[in-house]
Amino acid sequence: MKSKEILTRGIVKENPVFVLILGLCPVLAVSTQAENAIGMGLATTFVLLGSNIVISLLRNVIPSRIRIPCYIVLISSFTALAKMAIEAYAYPLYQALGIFLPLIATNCIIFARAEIFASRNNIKDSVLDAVGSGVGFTLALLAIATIREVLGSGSFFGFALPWLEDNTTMIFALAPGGFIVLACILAVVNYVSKGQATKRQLGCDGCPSAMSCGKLKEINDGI
Amino acid sequence: MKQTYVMPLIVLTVICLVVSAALAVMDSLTAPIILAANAQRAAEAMTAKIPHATGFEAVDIESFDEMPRSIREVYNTTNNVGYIFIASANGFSGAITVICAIDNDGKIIATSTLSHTETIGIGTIIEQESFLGPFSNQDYNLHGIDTVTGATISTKAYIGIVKEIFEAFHLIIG
Repeated sequence: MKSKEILTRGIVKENPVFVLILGLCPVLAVSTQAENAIGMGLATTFVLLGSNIVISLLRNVIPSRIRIPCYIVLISSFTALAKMAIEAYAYPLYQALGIFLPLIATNCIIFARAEIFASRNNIKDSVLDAVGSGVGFTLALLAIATIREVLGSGSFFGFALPWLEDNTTMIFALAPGGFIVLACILAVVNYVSKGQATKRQLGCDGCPSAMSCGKLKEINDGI
Repeated sequence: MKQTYVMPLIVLTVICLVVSAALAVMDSLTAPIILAANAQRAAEAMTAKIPHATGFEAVDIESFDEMPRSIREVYNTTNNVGYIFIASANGFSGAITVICAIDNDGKIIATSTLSHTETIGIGTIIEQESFLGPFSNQDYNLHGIDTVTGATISTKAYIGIVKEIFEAFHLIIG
């Protein structure tokens, strides 16, 4: 697979949020303000990058039967590192992300990329994959957060918008608004892709990760 | 046998050791910064409340049996112009931490919210001047201060914390 394809796949074709529908918990929780969305996206991208690099480096060392505990240890340590760095150097962001910062450790996007991609590909491709998925996650968060902040708080990146500021639609700042915005964007994604993006077929053919999945490769190679 | 049981053990142990070392290094780098920043934020918040205080000294709240549970820290001013209270209790979603300065006559100098996780756009009224301003110069009775419709739980919790701060104040001055 070409490098460019690996990089862009996570942004559009395999967007973690809008296509794979992964990591929805932080997406719904932290998407009330565009600024927090960027912070959460970058923190997740950092952890994703770190875990993908290390897991790719160690892919021949880690025995397959204990790979899950190994991934968990590595991913949660990168999360702890990010948490300490953000608390020390970006305290307002640390406050805004709250409980969702340590919870990056359980973000299924990171685990999915480790299991599906990094554990079966070289370091260069794994870095591209992490950057692609991270950027895709950040952009998805930003898209939802922009709509929610503009309509719910009448501001964008903290700057008050004329008229909207005095006419906020409170529900967009609350949890139900997150679901509504996400559902509307998913509907648009499905309309634009004519239902192909999130179409679920049984078996590996219907899986959006099929192209990079090592298991499918093994089946096709007759191993 | 060796491949099946020994290798996984060694690999996982080594990974854990390396990772712990990395975390320890990171912690030793960031912990002093985090502690210093926390202390500075607290000092700034206190000085902002009582600008003419020359210094602050902690009051031992453990020595009072009937101290309300919400009270976290109490500071006396070195030139005896009032007290600083830091108290925390549950609001609508999670803890609200309040910092409140009370002068020797039992009147609030100023109060503000240090941290909270209330609903954006609703419970966030507890950090706005429209809600906090009227607290200034109030005594224990908090005349004219009422919960705010729509954010009843958050504002009720805030007022509850301030009342407990007054209880603590009366305990301390005897």
